[in-house]
Amino acid sequence: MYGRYEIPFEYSDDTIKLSITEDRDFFRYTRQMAGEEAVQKTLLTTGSAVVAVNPIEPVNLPKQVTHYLEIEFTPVLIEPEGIKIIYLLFPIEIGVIVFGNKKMEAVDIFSFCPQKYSLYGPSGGGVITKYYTTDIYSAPPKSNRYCTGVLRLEIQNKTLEWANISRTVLDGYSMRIYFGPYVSMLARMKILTPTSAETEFIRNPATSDFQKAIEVYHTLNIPSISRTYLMEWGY
Amino acid sequence: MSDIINTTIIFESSVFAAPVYGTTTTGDILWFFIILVLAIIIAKIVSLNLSRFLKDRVRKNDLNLITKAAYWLIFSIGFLTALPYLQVDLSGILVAGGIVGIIIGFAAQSVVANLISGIFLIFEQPLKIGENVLIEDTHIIVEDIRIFSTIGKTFDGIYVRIPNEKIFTTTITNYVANTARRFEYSVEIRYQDDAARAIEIIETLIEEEPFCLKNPGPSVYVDELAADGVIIKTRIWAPSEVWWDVRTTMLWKIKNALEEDGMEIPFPQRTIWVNPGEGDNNPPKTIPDRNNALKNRVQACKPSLPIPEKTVPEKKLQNYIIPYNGPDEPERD
Repeated sequence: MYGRYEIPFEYSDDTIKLSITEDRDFFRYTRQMAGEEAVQKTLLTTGSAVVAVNPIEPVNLPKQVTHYLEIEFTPVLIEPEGIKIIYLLFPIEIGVIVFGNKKMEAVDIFSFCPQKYSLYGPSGGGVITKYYTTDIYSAPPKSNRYCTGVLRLEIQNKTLEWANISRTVLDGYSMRIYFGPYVSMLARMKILTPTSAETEFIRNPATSDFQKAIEVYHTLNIPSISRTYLMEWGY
Repeated sequence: MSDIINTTIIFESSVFAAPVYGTTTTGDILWFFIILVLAIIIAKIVSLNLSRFLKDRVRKNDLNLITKAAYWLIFSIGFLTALPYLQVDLSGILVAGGIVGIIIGFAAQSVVANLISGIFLIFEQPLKIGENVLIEDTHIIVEDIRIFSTIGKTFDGIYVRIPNEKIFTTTITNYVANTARRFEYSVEIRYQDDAARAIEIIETLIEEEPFCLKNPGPSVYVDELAADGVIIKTRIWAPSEVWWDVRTTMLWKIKNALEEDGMEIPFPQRTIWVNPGEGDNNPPKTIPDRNNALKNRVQACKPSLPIPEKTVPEKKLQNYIIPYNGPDEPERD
Protein backbone atom coordinates (compact mmCIF):
# COMPACT_ATOMS: atom_id res chain seq x y z
CA MET A 1 0.00 0.00 0.00
CA TYR A 2 2.84 2.39 0.80
CA GLY A 3 4.27 4.31 -2.12
CA ARG A 4 3.51 6.97 -4.73
CA TYR A 5 0.75 6.68 -7.29
CA GLU A 6 -0.34 8.71 -10.26
CA ILE A 7 -4.06 9.35 -10.32
CA PRO A 8 -6.34 7.64 -11.09
CA PHE A 9 -5.15 4.72 -8.97
CA GLU A 10 -6.58 1.78 -7.10
CA TYR A 11 -5.27 -0.42 -4.30
CA SER A 12 -7.00 -3.20 -2.44
CA ASP A 13 -6.17 -6.04 -0.07
CA ASP A 14 -8.09 -8.08 2.51
CA THR A 15 -8.56 -5.17 4.88
CA ILE A 16 -8.75 -2.03 2.79
CA LYS A 17 -9.62 -0.65 -0.61
CA LEU A 18 -8.20 2.73 -1.68
CA SER A 19 -8.94 4.43 -4.95
CA ILE A 20 -8.99 7.72 -6.79
CA THR A 21 -11.25 7.37 -9.79
CA GLU A 22 -12.23 9.80 -12.50
CA ASP A 23 -15.85 10.89 -12.21
CA ARG A 24 -16.65 13.18 -15.18
CA ASP A 25 -14.72 16.41 -14.43
CA PHE A 26 -13.80 15.40 -10.88
CA PHE A 27 -11.62 12.83 -9.21
CA ARG A 28 -13.24 10.89 -6.40
CA TYR A 29 -11.20 9.50 -3.52
CA THR A 30 -12.70 6.46 -1.77
CA ARG A 31 -11.50 4.48 1.22
CA GLN A 32 -13.33 1.34 2.25
CA MET A 33 -12.11 -0.52 5.34
CA ALA A 34 -13.52 -3.86 6.41
CA GLY A 35 -16.58 -3.40 8.61
CA GLU A 36 -16.63 0.38 8.24
CA GLU A 37 -18.50 2.91 6.17
CA ALA A 38 -16.76 4.18 3.05
CA VAL A 39 -15.00 7.56 3.21
CA GLN A 40 -15.30 9.67 0.08
CA LYS A 41 -13.77 12.96 -0.97
CA THR A 42 -13.82 14.88 -4.22
CA LEU A 43 -10.62 16.27 -5.71
CA LEU A 44 -10.64 19.16 -8.15
CA THR A 45 -7.46 18.68 -10.15
CA THR A 46 -6.37 18.52 -13.75
CA GLY A 47 -5.12 14.99 -13.28
CA SER A 48 -1.43 15.82 -12.96
CA ALA A 49 -1.54 15.32 -9.20
CA VAL A 50 0.42 12.55 -7.52
CA VAL A 51 -0.71 10.67 -4.43
CA ALA A 52 1.56 9.33 -1.70
CA VAL A 53 0.38 6.75 0.80
CA ASN A 54 2.72 6.33 3.74
CA PRO A 55 2.89 6.24 7.54
CA ILE A 56 2.69 9.70 9.12
CA GLU A 57 3.11 11.16 12.61
CA PRO A 58 0.75 9.05 14.76
CA VAL A 59 -0.87 11.97 16.59
CA ASN A 60 -3.83 12.86 14.39
CA LEU A 61 -6.64 10.42 15.08
CA PRO A 62 -9.49 10.47 15.92
CA LYS A 63 -9.00 14.23 16.16
CA GLN A 64 -5.83 16.25 16.45
CA VAL A 65 -5.51 17.42 20.07
CA THR A 66 -1.78 17.08 20.57
CA HIS A 67 1.53 16.58 18.77
CA TYR A 68 3.21 14.42 21.39
CA LEU A 69 3.60 10.65 21.36
CA GLU A 70 4.08 8.86 24.68
CA ILE A 71 5.30 5.29 24.68
CA GLU A 72 5.14 3.46 27.98
CA PHE A 73 7.21 0.30 28.27
CA THR A 74 8.35 -2.30 30.76
CA PRO A 75 10.57 -0.41 33.25
CA VAL A 76 14.31 -0.68 32.59
CA LEU A 77 17.25 0.34 34.76
CA ILE A 78 20.23 1.91 33.07
CA GLU A 79 23.61 2.24 34.73
CA PRO A 80 25.25 5.63 35.47
CA GLU A 81 26.68 7.19 32.29
CA GLY A 82 25.51 4.14 30.35
CA ILE A 83 24.38 4.08 26.71
CA LYS A 84 21.99 1.35 25.56
CA ILE A 85 19.71 0.75 22.58
CA ILE A 86 16.26 -0.72 22.98
CA TYR A 87 13.51 -1.35 20.45
CA LEU A 88 9.88 -0.42 21.08
CA LEU A 89 6.69 -0.57 19.07
CA PHE A 90 4.66 2.51 18.20
CA PRO A 91 1.21 2.92 16.61
CA ILE A 92 0.94 3.82 12.95
CA GLU A 93 -1.36 6.27 11.26
CA ILE A 94 -1.45 6.16 7.48
CA GLY A 95 -1.79 9.32 5.43
CA VAL A 96 -3.02 9.73 1.87
CA ILE A 97 -1.26 12.86 0.66
CA VAL A 98 -1.93 14.54 -2.65
CA PHE A 99 0.65 16.68 -4.50
CA GLY A 100 -0.25 19.31 -7.05
CA ASN A 101 1.56 22.46 -8.20
CA LYS A 102 4.38 21.82 -5.69
CA LYS A 103 1.94 21.86 -2.75
CA MET A 104 0.69 18.93 -0.74
CA GLU A 105 -2.36 18.21 1.36
CA ALA A 106 -3.47 15.27 3.45
CA VAL A 107 -6.63 13.95 1.82
CA ASP A 108 -7.22 11.25 4.40
CA ILE A 109 -5.68 9.81 7.56
CA PHE A 110 -6.63 6.40 8.91
CA SER A 111 -5.31 3.71 11.21
CA PHE A 112 -5.70 0.01 11.91
CA CYS A 113 -4.55 0.55 15.50
CA PRO A 114 -6.78 1.47 18.48
CA GLN A 115 -6.25 5.02 19.74
CA LYS A 116 -5.63 6.15 23.28
CA TYR A 117 -4.56 9.43 24.84
CA SER A 118 -2.94 10.32 28.13
CA LEU A 119 -1.63 13.26 30.12
CA TYR A 120 2.08 13.66 30.71
CA GLY A 121 2.71 15.93 33.68
CA PRO A 122 0.19 17.80 35.83
CA SER A 123 -3.19 18.89 34.46
CA GLY A 124 -2.10 22.50 34.95
CA GLY A 125 1.05 22.49 32.86
CA GLY A 126 1.40 19.02 31.36
CA VAL A 127 0.76 17.96 27.81
CA ILE A 128 -1.80 15.64 26.25
CA THR A 129 -0.06 12.72 24.55
CA LYS A 130 -1.01 9.99 22.15
CA TYR A 131 -0.45 6.94 24.33
CA TYR A 132 0.88 3.53 23.47
CA THR A 133 2.12 0.74 25.69
CA THR A 134 4.66 -1.84 24.55
CA ASP A 135 7.25 -4.39 25.64
CA ILE A 136 10.93 -3.72 25.13
CA TYR A 137 13.04 -5.65 22.64
CA SER A 138 16.77 -6.03 22.11
CA ALA A 139 16.36 -6.33 18.33
CA PRO A 140 13.73 -5.03 15.89
CA PRO A 141 10.62 -7.13 16.67
CA LYS A 142 8.27 -8.47 14.04
CA SER A 143 5.49 -6.00 13.41
CA ASN A 144 2.55 -5.49 11.10
CA ARG A 145 3.79 -2.63 8.93
CA TYR A 146 0.27 -1.23 8.61
CA CYS A 147 -0.44 -1.25 12.35
CA THR A 148 2.75 -0.85 14.37
CA GLY A 149 6.21 0.50 13.68
CA VAL A 150 9.53 -0.08 15.39
CA LEU A 151 11.22 2.67 17.37
CA ARG A 152 14.95 2.29 17.92
CA LEU A 153 15.59 4.24 21.12
CA GLU A 154 19.10 5.04 22.20
CA ILE A 155 19.11 5.77 25.93
CA GLN A 156 22.00 7.80 27.30
CA ASN A 157 22.23 8.15 31.06
CA LYS A 158 24.14 11.36 31.65
CA THR A 159 23.69 11.20 35.43
CA LEU A 160 25.89 9.49 38.01
CA GLU A 161 22.97 7.44 39.33
CA TRP A 162 21.06 4.41 38.06
CA ALA A 163 17.96 5.58 36.20
CA ASN A 164 14.65 3.74 36.09
CA ILE A 165 12.91 4.44 32.78
CA SER A 166 9.42 3.38 31.80
CA ARG A 167 8.31 5.95 29.23
CA THR A 168 9.46 8.26 26.50
CA VAL A 169 7.66 11.30 25.14
CA LEU A 170 8.44 12.38 21.59
CA ASP A 171 7.52 15.57 19.76
CA GLY A 172 5.58 15.00 16.54
CA TYR A 173 6.97 18.16 14.92
CA SER A 174 10.41 16.63 14.51
CA MET A 175 9.41 13.02 13.79
CA ARG A 176 11.26 11.25 11.00
CA ILE A 177 9.45 8.12 9.82
CA TYR A 178 10.91 5.62 7.37
CA PHE A 179 9.25 2.64 5.74
CA GLY A 180 10.68 -0.45 4.13
CA PRO A 181 10.56 -4.01 5.49
CA TYR A 182 8.86 -2.42 8.46
CA VAL A 183 8.03 1.12 9.59
CA SER A 184 10.88 2.64 11.52
CA MET A 185 11.80 5.65 13.63
CA LEU A 186 15.11 6.36 15.36
CA ALA A 187 15.26 8.45 18.49
CA ARG A 188 17.59 9.34 21.31
CA MET A 189 16.71 9.88 24.97
CA LYS A 190 19.20 11.60 27.23
CA ILE A 191 18.66 11.24 30.96
CA LEU A 192 19.69 14.63 32.32
CA THR A 193 18.61 14.53 35.98
CA PRO A 194 16.73 12.06 38.17
CA THR A 195 13.46 13.67 37.00
CA SER A 196 14.13 15.02 33.52
CA ALA A 197 15.22 13.75 30.14
CA GLU A 198 15.53 15.07 26.62
CA THR A 199 14.28 13.30 23.52
CA GLU A 200 15.10 13.91 19.88
CA PHE A 201 14.78 12.13 16.56
CA ILE A 202 17.72 10.90 14.52
CA ARG A 203 17.46 11.85 10.86
CA ASN A 204 18.70 8.55 9.47
CA PRO A 205 16.97 5.41 8.25
CA ALA A 206 17.69 2.13 10.05
CA THR A 207 19.24 0.72 6.84
CA SER A 208 19.41 1.72 3.19
CA ASP A 209 16.31 -0.43 2.51
CA PHE A 210 14.14 2.24 4.04
CA GLN A 211 12.46 5.15 2.34
CA LYS A 212 11.55 8.40 4.06
CA ALA A 213 7.86 9.03 4.63
CA ILE A 214 6.26 12.40 3.91
CA GLU A 215 5.36 14.24 7.09
CA VAL A 216 1.86 15.65 7.34
CA TYR A 217 2.89 18.39 9.76
CA HIS A 218 5.08 19.88 7.08
CA THR A 219 2.17 19.50 4.70
CA LEU A 220 0.08 21.59 7.05
CA ASN A 221 2.85 24.21 7.16
CA ILE A 222 3.41 23.95 10.90
CA PRO A 223 6.92 25.22 11.52
CA SER A 224 9.37 23.08 13.42
CA ILE A 225 10.13 25.07 16.53
CA SER A 226 12.38 22.74 18.46
CA ARG A 227 14.23 19.60 17.56
CA THR A 228 14.20 18.26 21.10
CA TYR A 229 11.57 17.73 23.76
CA LEU A 230 12.35 18.14 27.44
CA MET A 231 10.59 15.54 29.60
CA GLU A 232 10.46 17.53 32.80
CA TRP A 233 7.87 15.46 34.67
CA GLY A 234 9.75 12.23 34.98
CA TYR A 235 10.43 9.19 32.87
CA MET B 1 35.71 63.52 31.66
CA SER B 2 37.69 65.84 29.44
CA ASP B 3 34.92 65.60 26.78
CA ILE B 4 32.30 66.85 29.27
CA ILE B 5 34.53 69.73 30.32
CA ASN B 6 35.13 70.62 26.65
CA THR B 7 31.35 70.51 25.91
CA THR B 8 30.64 72.76 28.90
CA ILE B 9 33.31 75.16 27.71
CA ILE B 10 31.76 75.23 24.19
CA PHE B 11 28.27 76.00 25.61
CA GLU B 12 29.77 78.70 27.87
CA SER B 13 31.58 80.39 25.00
CA SER B 14 30.45 83.86 24.01
CA VAL B 15 28.53 82.58 20.94
CA PHE B 16 26.23 80.42 23.03
CA ALA B 17 26.13 82.68 26.12
CA ALA B 18 24.82 85.72 24.25
CA PRO B 19 21.11 86.35 24.97
CA VAL B 20 18.86 85.99 21.94
CA TYR B 21 15.43 86.68 23.40
CA GLY B 22 15.12 88.12 26.92
CA THR B 23 17.54 86.10 29.01
CA THR B 24 17.33 83.07 26.69
CA THR B 25 20.67 82.31 25.12
CA THR B 26 21.56 80.35 21.98
CA GLY B 27 22.89 77.62 24.29
CA ASP B 28 19.49 77.38 26.04
CA ILE B 29 17.73 77.01 22.68
CA LEU B 30 20.27 74.36 21.69
CA TRP B 31 19.70 72.45 24.96
CA PHE B 32 15.91 72.69 24.39
CA PHE B 33 16.22 71.04 20.99
CA ILE B 34 18.75 68.44 22.17
CA ILE B 35 16.38 67.33 24.98
CA LEU B 36 13.46 67.32 22.53
CA VAL B 37 15.37 65.20 19.99
CA LEU B 38 16.47 62.79 22.75
CA ALA B 39 12.86 62.49 23.94
CA ILE B 40 11.72 61.73 20.38
CA ILE B 41 14.42 59.07 19.96
CA ILE B 42 13.56 57.44 23.30
CA ALA B 43 9.82 57.61 22.48
CA LYS B 44 10.43 55.97 19.10
CA ILE B 45 12.52 53.17 20.63
CA VAL B 46 9.99 52.50 23.39
CA SER B 47 6.97 52.52 21.07
CA LEU B 48 8.76 50.28 18.56
CA ASN B 49 9.69 47.72 21.22
CA LEU B 50 6.22 47.92 22.73
CA SER B 51 4.76 47.28 19.30
CA ARG B 52 6.97 44.22 18.77
CA PHE B 53 6.24 42.87 22.26
CA LEU B 54 2.47 43.29 22.03
CA LYS B 55 2.11 42.35 18.36
CA ASP B 56 0.64 38.90 19.04
CA ARG B 57 -1.10 39.83 22.26
CA VAL B 58 -3.46 42.67 21.34
CA ARG B 59 -5.56 43.76 18.40
CA LYS B 60 -4.02 46.04 15.78
CA ASN B 61 -6.24 49.01 16.71
CA ASP B 62 -5.42 48.68 20.39
CA LEU B 63 -1.75 48.24 19.57
CA ASN B 64 -1.73 51.54 17.67
CA LEU B 65 -3.45 53.25 20.58
CA ILE B 66 -0.97 51.90 23.15
CA THR B 67 2.14 52.70 21.10
CA LYS B 68 0.92 56.21 20.31
CA ALA B 69 0.03 56.83 23.97
CA ALA B 70 3.50 55.69 25.03
CA TYR B 71 5.13 57.86 22.34
CA TRP B 72 3.27 61.03 23.28
CA LEU B 73 3.73 60.44 27.00
CA ILE B 74 7.53 60.26 26.63
CA PHE B 75 7.53 63.20 24.22
CA SER B 76 5.45 65.27 26.67
CA ILE B 77 7.85 64.50 29.54
CA GLY B 78 10.78 65.54 27.32
CA PHE B 79 9.00 68.71 26.21
CA LEU B 80 8.17 69.72 29.80
CA THR B 81 11.78 69.02 30.84
CA ALA B 82 13.11 71.17 27.99
CA LEU B 83 10.70 74.10 28.43
CA PRO B 84 12.56 75.79 31.37
CA TYR B 85 15.50 76.37 28.99
CA LEU B 86 13.23 78.80 27.09
CA GLN B 87 12.59 80.60 30.39
CA VAL B 88 9.02 79.32 30.51
CA ASP B 89 7.69 79.13 34.05
CA LEU B 90 6.11 75.70 34.45
CA SER B 91 4.55 76.37 37.84
CA GLY B 92 1.49 77.99 36.25
CA ILE B 93 1.15 75.19 33.71
CA LEU B 94 1.54 72.57 36.42
CA VAL B 95 -1.16 74.18 38.61
CA ALA B 96 -3.52 74.47 35.64
CA GLY B 97 -2.61 70.97 34.50
CA GLY B 98 -3.18 69.62 38.00
CA ILE B 99 -6.67 71.12 38.18
CA VAL B 100 -7.55 69.90 34.68
CA GLY B 101 -6.11 66.49 35.62
CA ILE B 102 -8.32 66.24 38.69
CA ILE B 103 -11.42 67.19 36.66
CA ILE B 104 -10.58 64.73 33.90
CA GLY B 105 -9.68 62.10 36.49
CA PHE B 106 -13.11 62.30 38.11
CA ALA B 107 -14.92 62.42 34.78
CA ALA B 108 -12.99 59.57 33.19
CA GLN B 109 -12.46 57.45 36.28
CA SER B 110 -14.16 54.33 34.91
CA VAL B 111 -12.61 54.76 31.47
CA VAL B 112 -9.12 54.96 32.94
CA ALA B 113 -9.87 52.02 35.28
CA ASN B 114 -10.96 49.95 32.27
CA LEU B 115 -7.89 51.00 30.31
CA ILE B 116 -5.48 50.08 33.09
CA SER B 117 -7.34 46.82 33.77
CA GLY B 118 -7.13 46.05 30.05
CA ILE B 119 -3.37 46.58 30.05
CA PHE B 120 -2.98 44.31 33.09
CA LEU B 121 -5.21 41.67 31.48
CA ILE B 122 -2.99 41.69 28.40
CA PHE B 123 0.07 40.98 30.51
CA GLU B 124 -1.50 38.57 33.02
CA GLN B 125 -3.58 36.69 30.44
CA PRO B 126 -6.10 34.97 32.73
CA LEU B 127 -8.18 34.30 29.60
CA LYS B 128 -7.45 33.96 25.91
CA ILE B 129 -9.49 34.22 22.75
CA GLY B 130 -11.55 31.08 22.16
CA GLU B 131 -11.56 29.98 25.79
CA ASN B 132 -14.66 28.96 27.68
CA VAL B 133 -14.88 31.08 30.85
CA LEU B 134 -17.28 32.01 33.62
CA ILE B 135 -17.00 35.68 34.63
CA GLU B 136 -19.12 36.26 37.70
CA ASP B 137 -22.43 34.78 36.48
CA THR B 138 -21.79 35.12 32.76
CA HIS B 139 -20.67 32.04 30.89
CA ILE B 140 -19.00 33.02 27.60
CA ILE B 141 -16.59 31.97 24.91
CA VAL B 142 -14.05 34.80 24.63
CA GLU B 143 -14.04 36.33 21.16
CA ASP B 144 -11.89 39.42 21.63
CA ILE B 145 -9.90 41.13 24.38
CA ARG B 146 -9.84 44.86 23.72
CA ILE B 147 -8.17 47.66 25.59
CA PHE B 148 -11.36 48.78 27.39
CA SER B 149 -13.57 45.72 27.28
CA THR B 150 -13.71 42.00 26.56
CA ILE B 151 -16.12 40.66 23.96
CA GLY B 152 -17.67 37.23 24.27
CA LYS B 153 -20.49 35.07 23.05
CA THR B 154 -22.80 33.03 25.21
CA PHE B 155 -23.66 29.46 24.26
CA ASP B 156 -26.96 30.83 22.90
CA GLY B 157 -24.97 32.98 20.49
CA ILE B 158 -25.66 36.24 22.31
CA TYR B 159 -23.09 39.06 22.13
CA VAL B 160 -21.68 40.05 25.53
CA ARG B 161 -19.39 43.00 26.28
CA ILE B 162 -17.80 43.04 29.71
CA PRO B 163 -15.77 46.06 30.90
CA ASN B 164 -12.20 45.08 31.67
CA GLU B 165 -12.39 46.59 35.16
CA LYS B 166 -15.09 44.08 36.06
CA ILE B 167 -13.06 41.18 34.68
CA PHE B 168 -9.97 42.30 36.53
CA THR B 169 -11.71 42.62 39.88
CA THR B 170 -13.99 39.58 39.73
CA THR B 171 -13.45 35.84 39.93
CA ILE B 172 -12.76 34.19 36.58
CA THR B 173 -13.33 30.47 36.15
CA ASN B 174 -11.50 29.28 33.06
CA TYR B 175 -12.75 25.84 32.05
CA VAL B 176 -10.06 25.14 29.49
CA ALA B 177 -6.95 26.84 30.88
CA ASN B 178 -5.66 23.49 32.11
CA THR B 179 -4.71 20.77 29.67
CA ALA B 180 -7.10 18.17 31.03
CA ARG B 181 -10.18 18.15 33.22
CA ARG B 182 -12.29 15.60 35.03
CA PHE B 183 -16.00 14.92 34.89
CA GLU B 184 -18.17 12.38 36.66
CA TYR B 185 -21.37 10.42 36.41
CA SER B 186 -23.56 8.78 39.04
CA VAL B 187 -25.00 5.66 37.44
CA GLU B 188 -27.71 3.88 39.47
CA ILE B 189 -28.50 0.20 39.02
CA ARG B 190 -31.02 -2.06 40.79
CA TYR B 191 -30.05 -4.00 43.91
CA GLN B 192 -30.53 -7.30 42.10
CA ASP B 193 -28.02 -6.27 39.38
CA ASP B 194 -24.36 -7.22 39.69
CA ALA B 195 -22.44 -4.06 40.59
CA ALA B 196 -19.07 -5.71 39.92
CA ARG B 197 -20.20 -6.60 36.41
CA ALA B 198 -21.48 -3.04 35.87
CA ILE B 199 -18.10 -1.63 36.91
CA GLU B 200 -16.36 -4.01 34.52
CA ILE B 201 -18.59 -2.89 31.64
CA ILE B 202 -18.01 0.80 32.38
CA GLU B 203 -14.24 0.29 32.67
CA THR B 204 -14.16 -1.51 29.32
CA LEU B 205 -16.05 1.34 27.66
CA ILE B 206 -13.64 3.88 29.13
CA GLU B 207 -10.68 1.85 27.91
CA GLU B 208 -12.12 1.77 24.38
CA GLU B 209 -12.75 5.53 24.22
CA PRO B 210 -9.56 7.24 22.91
CA PHE B 211 -10.08 10.52 24.73
CA CYS B 212 -10.76 9.02 28.18
CA LEU B 213 -7.23 9.56 29.42
CA LYS B 214 -5.02 6.69 30.48
CA ASN B 215 -3.24 8.91 32.99
CA PRO B 216 -4.72 10.19 35.25
CA GLY B 217 -6.69 6.99 35.19
CA PRO B 218 -10.47 6.72 35.53
CA SER B 219 -12.12 5.79 38.78
CA VAL B 220 -15.23 3.58 38.87
CA TYR B 221 -16.62 2.45 42.24
CA VAL B 222 -19.78 1.79 44.26
CA ASP B 223 -20.43 5.13 45.89
CA GLU B 224 -23.72 4.70 47.71
CA LEU B 225 -26.35 2.14 48.63
CA ALA B 226 -29.22 4.50 47.93
CA ALA B 227 -32.97 4.20 48.54
CA ASP B 228 -33.75 2.93 45.07
CA GLY B 229 -30.56 1.25 43.92
CA VAL B 230 -26.78 1.02 43.98
CA ILE B 231 -25.02 4.18 42.83
CA ILE B 232 -21.84 3.67 40.83
CA LYS B 233 -19.63 6.73 40.60
CA THR B 234 -17.59 7.11 37.40
CA ARG B 235 -14.81 9.70 37.22
CA ILE B 236 -13.03 10.28 33.93
CA TRP B 237 -10.27 12.66 32.82
CA ALA B 238 -10.35 14.01 29.26
CA PRO B 239 -8.45 16.65 27.27
CA SER B 240 -10.06 20.05 27.97
CA GLU B 241 -10.47 20.59 24.24
CA VAL B 242 -12.86 17.66 23.83
CA TRP B 243 -14.17 16.98 27.33
CA TRP B 244 -17.75 18.01 26.59
CA ASP B 245 -18.01 15.70 23.58
CA VAL B 246 -16.57 12.83 25.60
CA ARG B 247 -18.87 13.55 28.53
CA THR B 248 -22.02 13.51 26.42
CA THR B 249 -21.17 10.45 24.32
CA MET B 250 -19.85 8.31 27.16
CA LEU B 251 -22.97 8.62 29.32
CA TRP B 252 -25.18 7.28 26.56
CA LYS B 253 -22.71 4.49 25.77
CA ILE B 254 -22.69 3.45 29.43
CA LYS B 255 -26.48 3.45 29.62
CA ASN B 256 -26.81 1.34 26.47
CA ALA B 257 -24.07 -1.09 27.47
CA LEU B 258 -25.62 -1.70 30.90
CA GLU B 259 -29.05 -2.24 29.40
CA GLU B 260 -27.64 -4.66 26.83
CA ASP B 261 -26.25 -6.65 29.73
CA GLY B 262 -29.71 -6.84 31.33
CA MET B 263 -29.24 -4.12 33.92
CA GLU B 264 -31.76 -1.39 34.49
CA ILE B 265 -31.77 2.10 35.88
CA PRO B 266 -34.20 1.71 38.84
CA PHE B 267 -37.35 3.79 39.21
CA PRO B 268 -38.06 5.34 42.62
CA GLN B 269 -40.02 2.82 44.71
CA ARG B 270 -41.39 2.41 48.23
CA THR B 271 -42.37 -0.75 50.12
CA ILE B 272 -45.57 -0.32 52.15
CA TRP B 273 -46.83 -2.83 54.72
CA VAL B 274 -50.61 -3.01 54.60
CA ASN B 275 -52.42 -3.93 57.84
CA PRO B 276 -49.33 -4.34 59.99
CA GLY B 277 -51.39 -5.87 62.81
CA GLU B 278 -51.42 -9.19 61.01
CA GLY B 279 -47.67 -9.20 61.03
CA ASP B 280 -45.78 -11.40 58.62
CA ASN B 281 -48.82 -13.20 57.25
CA ASN B 282 -49.39 -10.37 54.75
CA PRO B 283 -46.83 -10.00 51.94
CA PRO B 284 -45.53 -6.44 51.25
CA LYS B 285 -47.15 -4.51 48.43
CA THR B 286 -45.02 -2.22 46.33
CA ILE B 287 -46.34 0.93 44.70
CA PRO B 288 -46.44 2.68 42.33
CA ASP B 289 -47.78 -0.12 40.22
CA ARG B 290 -47.96 1.07 36.62
CA ASN B 291 -50.94 -1.23 35.82
CA ASN B 292 -52.98 -0.01 38.77
CA ALA B 293 -52.12 3.66 38.34
CA LEU B 294 -55.18 4.38 36.18
CA LYS B 295 -57.45 2.45 38.53
CA ASN B 296 -56.14 4.39 41.51
CA ARG B 297 -56.73 7.66 39.71
CA VAL B 298 -60.35 6.68 38.96
CA GLN B 299 -60.88 5.81 42.61
CA ALA B 300 -59.49 9.14 43.64
CA CYS B 301 -62.25 10.83 41.64
CA LYS B 302 -65.01 9.04 43.51
CA PRO B 303 -66.84 10.96 46.29
CA SER B 304 -65.13 10.29 49.57
CA LEU B 305 -66.81 8.01 52.05
CA PRO B 306 -67.50 9.07 55.66
CA ILE B 307 -64.59 8.17 57.94
CA PRO B 308 -65.55 5.38 60.38
CA GLU B 309 -65.07 6.22 64.06
CA LYS B 310 -62.88 3.19 64.78
CA THR B 311 -61.34 1.30 61.93
CA VAL B 312 -59.11 -1.03 63.98
CA PRO B 313 -60.81 -3.51 66.35
CA GLU B 314 -59.65 -3.34 69.96
CA LYS B 315 -58.58 -6.96 69.91
CA LYS B 316 -56.05 -6.32 67.20
CA LEU B 317 -54.41 -3.59 69.26
CA GLN B 318 -53.39 -6.18 71.81
CA ASN B 319 -50.99 -7.64 69.27
CA TYR B 320 -48.91 -4.48 69.25
CA ILE B 321 -45.87 -4.21 71.48
CA ILE B 322 -46.00 -0.75 73.00
CA PRO B 323 -42.45 0.59 73.24
CA TYR B 324 -41.07 1.36 76.73
CA ASN B 325 -39.76 4.92 76.75
CA GLY B 326 -37.53 4.88 79.82
CA PRO B 327 -37.69 5.06 83.61
CA ASP B 328 -39.58 8.39 83.60
CA GLU B 329 -42.57 6.78 81.97
CA PRO B 330 -45.25 5.57 84.41
CA GLU B 331 -45.68 1.81 84.61
CA ARG B 332 -48.29 0.24 82.36
CA ASP B 333 -50.81 -2.41 83.29
